[in-house]
Amino acid sequence: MREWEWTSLLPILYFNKEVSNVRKNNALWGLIFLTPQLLGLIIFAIIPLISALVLSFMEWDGFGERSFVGLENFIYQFSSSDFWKATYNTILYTVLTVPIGLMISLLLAIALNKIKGKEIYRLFYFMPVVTSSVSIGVIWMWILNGDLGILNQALAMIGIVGPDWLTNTNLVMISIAMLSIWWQLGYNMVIFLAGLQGISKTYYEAAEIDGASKFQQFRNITLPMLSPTTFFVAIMAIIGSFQVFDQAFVMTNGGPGKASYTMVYHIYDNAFVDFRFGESSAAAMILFVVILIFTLVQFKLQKRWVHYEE
Amino acid sequence: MSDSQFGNETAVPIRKSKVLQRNRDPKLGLKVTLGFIVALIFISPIIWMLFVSIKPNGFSTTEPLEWFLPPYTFYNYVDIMFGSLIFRWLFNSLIVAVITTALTLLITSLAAFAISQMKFRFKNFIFIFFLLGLMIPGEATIIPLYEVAKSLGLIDTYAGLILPMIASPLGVIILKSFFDNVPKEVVESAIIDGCSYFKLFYKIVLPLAKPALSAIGIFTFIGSWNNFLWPYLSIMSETLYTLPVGLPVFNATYSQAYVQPMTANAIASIPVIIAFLIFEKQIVKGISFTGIKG
Repeated sequence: MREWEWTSLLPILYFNKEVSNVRKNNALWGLIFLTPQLLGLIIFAIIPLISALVLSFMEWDGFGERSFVGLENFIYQFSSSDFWKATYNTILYTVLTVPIGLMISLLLAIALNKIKGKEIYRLFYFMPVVTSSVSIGVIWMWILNGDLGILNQALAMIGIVGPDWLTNTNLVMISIAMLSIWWQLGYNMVIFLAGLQGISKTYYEAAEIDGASKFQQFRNITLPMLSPTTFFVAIMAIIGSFQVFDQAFVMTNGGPGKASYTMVYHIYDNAFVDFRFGESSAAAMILFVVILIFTLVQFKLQKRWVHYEE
Repeated sequence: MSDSQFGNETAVPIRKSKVLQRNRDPKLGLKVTLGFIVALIFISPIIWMLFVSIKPNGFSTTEPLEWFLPPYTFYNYVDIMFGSLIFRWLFNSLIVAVITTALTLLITSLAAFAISQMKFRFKNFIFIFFLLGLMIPGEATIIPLYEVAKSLGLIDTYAGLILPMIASPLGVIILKSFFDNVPKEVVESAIIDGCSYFKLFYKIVLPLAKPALSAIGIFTFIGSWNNFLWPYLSIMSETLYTLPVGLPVFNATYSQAYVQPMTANAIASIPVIIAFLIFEKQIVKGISFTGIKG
């Protein structure tokens, strides 16, 4: 690797003059190639982010004057029970969906990896992924209906009285997490399958010869070799789950009460229902910082537990 | 040396015989049946949706199996197709997703090409800037985004649905790692031979990144197709609704009935599912090639 890089520098050292010409053009062309992406990012991500930061220190109802209020919006959020309810629900959702969802999709990928006709199974498991969150929400809303829902009807057939999946305050977030795992399972599974196919068979052959059990093979070959994939899937799943909104919005309106009220729901409600844009932006900034910290910590930890094949 | 060769020779026949044994597995039929049943149960919510969609309007039952039994009718489909804006919404979703995907691919690959293959000042700074962009959660900045879109006259337009979604930092990062694999010698000799950057871009580098492009294309398409909150906030006219914004309308209007919302859902989902069945191979291949290995 290093050798290749070094030799690739040779022509540059040798054709010094041409290179300086190339360099001049580079700056102009680089700018041309980068401009659309940079503009898009600045206009639709950076400016909104800075505005949200500024707005989080302001009082604004969306129409009148904006006035500076210092840290008041943050103090409001930290002393608001709705904010903590939303935080709790969002963390609960993340804790439920990410580890369980990842585990099931990994086991499924391992099971499918060696099976004949895995393309057909893959088709089945991936289908919910291409169905929109709103469709999924509407379908499950009816399936999980306490009295009329087919799930409880089916449970009644085998003598189980099904719970009120969506109207029980203790259960509603778990129900939403459950169907979200179902929704995203195929996506994670396909990525895991790709990762599994990237592991050379020779490792398993060698382990087999050495008499390693299936579990030992999983523990010592599959898991470490798959760690970059797991890392990628986990990061995306965590960032996604911090932003859960659609399902709760469509199925339960955040209810019953505030039982399925999430962070993004709180941001949305503050702004577009209560017209407290300052408070809403403060909550948005808190969410941003949490996701930022999470991503940075994960990137830091990545070096420690992710194993890259060289 | 001779030892390891000997080891190899004995290892191969052992493995082969094992494979043959597995093929004659008497439980194979059972395993396949079991796997199929599990997959069927997994997909049952979607199957249920399809069956409910062809039930007579107002149908309801307490017997779970009756959901799947006749009588069937396609009247709901006719009713919804002609009595609502669903085709319009389907068209809106499609056009927004297609344009979003095309523009995303264009501008992210241009940016990734510049970062991967050109040398200029502040390049690393710009790349870190993109990485930071990855960490900005869209939902957290949705209120100021609304302000920005309003001041640009993008509220209640197709452009307003498309433009905020196309500068995907993830796309740039994935494509950059792909473009990095293009040998520097190829690029440098092409430039010294007087090949323009655009030619280099679409003649040499872009074709090599096809798998990554199709993966990003698919991510973007699915993302756009499923996008709910932003279209919900930025679109006012019913004729500009996308499917996710329009679907709950059926739920609210017919709050007691199962059938109408499921028919609408089916109409919304069937085109994507068919498209998925057709392109499944490419989709999975695309996702698999994304260069997740870093």
